[in-house]
Amino acid sequence: MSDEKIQAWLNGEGTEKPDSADLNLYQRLYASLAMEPEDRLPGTFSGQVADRVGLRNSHYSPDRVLVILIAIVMGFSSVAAVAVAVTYVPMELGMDLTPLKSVLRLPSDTWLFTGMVVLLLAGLDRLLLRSRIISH
Amino acid sequence: MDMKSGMQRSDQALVAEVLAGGRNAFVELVEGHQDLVAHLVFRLIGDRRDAEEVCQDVFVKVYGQLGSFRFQSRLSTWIARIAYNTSLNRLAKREVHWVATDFSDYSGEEGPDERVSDRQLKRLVHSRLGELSVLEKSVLTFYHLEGMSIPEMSQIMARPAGTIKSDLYRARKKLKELIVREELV
Repeated sequence: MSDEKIQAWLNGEGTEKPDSADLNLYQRLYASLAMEPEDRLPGTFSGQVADRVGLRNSHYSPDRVLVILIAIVMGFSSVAAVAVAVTYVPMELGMDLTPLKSVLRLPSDTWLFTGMVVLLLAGLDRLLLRSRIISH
Repeated sequence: MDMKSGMQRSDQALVAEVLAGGRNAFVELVEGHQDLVAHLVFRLIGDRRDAEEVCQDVFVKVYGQLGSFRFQSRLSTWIARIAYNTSLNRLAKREVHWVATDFSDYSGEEGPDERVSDRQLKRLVHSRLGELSVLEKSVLTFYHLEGMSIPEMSQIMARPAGTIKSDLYRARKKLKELIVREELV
């Protein structure tokens, strides 16, 4: 029986039922062709290729502008400086911050990620300030 | 709007962003097609380090030639064609040949009446895939692993559809014989 007929039968489309030997061989053919997980490219592959073709993060992207605006609004506070230091700088040095991003459930884009960290730290800073004012 | 035209539009938007210098768009393009490229290149090249290098070369070429892509085929078909040609060039240039693995170290843990487990069989067949030609490995990968159609494969491999059909028939027959042979060992 042809592979096409077996596939059709497996899809519930064919009327002719393959005999078990044909079916078994067909399934083994598929199993033998499947890729193993270790045959996959590393998670950093796409970034490496982007670096190789010389694509850097845009210096004037909306995300970057957003972060700069936040920093201006905050008067270049130490919070913004810390956020940039702990997020943007390691990424520019090629460090993989994917686990941190997934833990914090933050977006993958560099500048947007930095912006979110700035906002988180700023919020925390405000909370601490407020608690200090209340305690006085 | 049908799904295909939706995909086409999405591909077009992605390509436009990459051409405008968007790193994230390029990363997205690579991540969306790297399994397709890896499946083919790993099958054809064999050696992992060499294959990874070829995969990088493929996407560097994709980036370099993206401006000339006219959407006359699907983006994935065009990328697969670049991967196929790059692999063939590498094989020709470096004379990387698939060498069938020597199974003298295979202890044959099962008794004569026991069936070779799927995993062991897969390992054996993977190694013996070296007995297939580059063409046969390519058609099996495109058709069975990537679910490509005969016309798509015809575009990628620059061979008439009828020839691809007979290539595929021959490759499957050979692989089935291989599986049967290994099961009887």
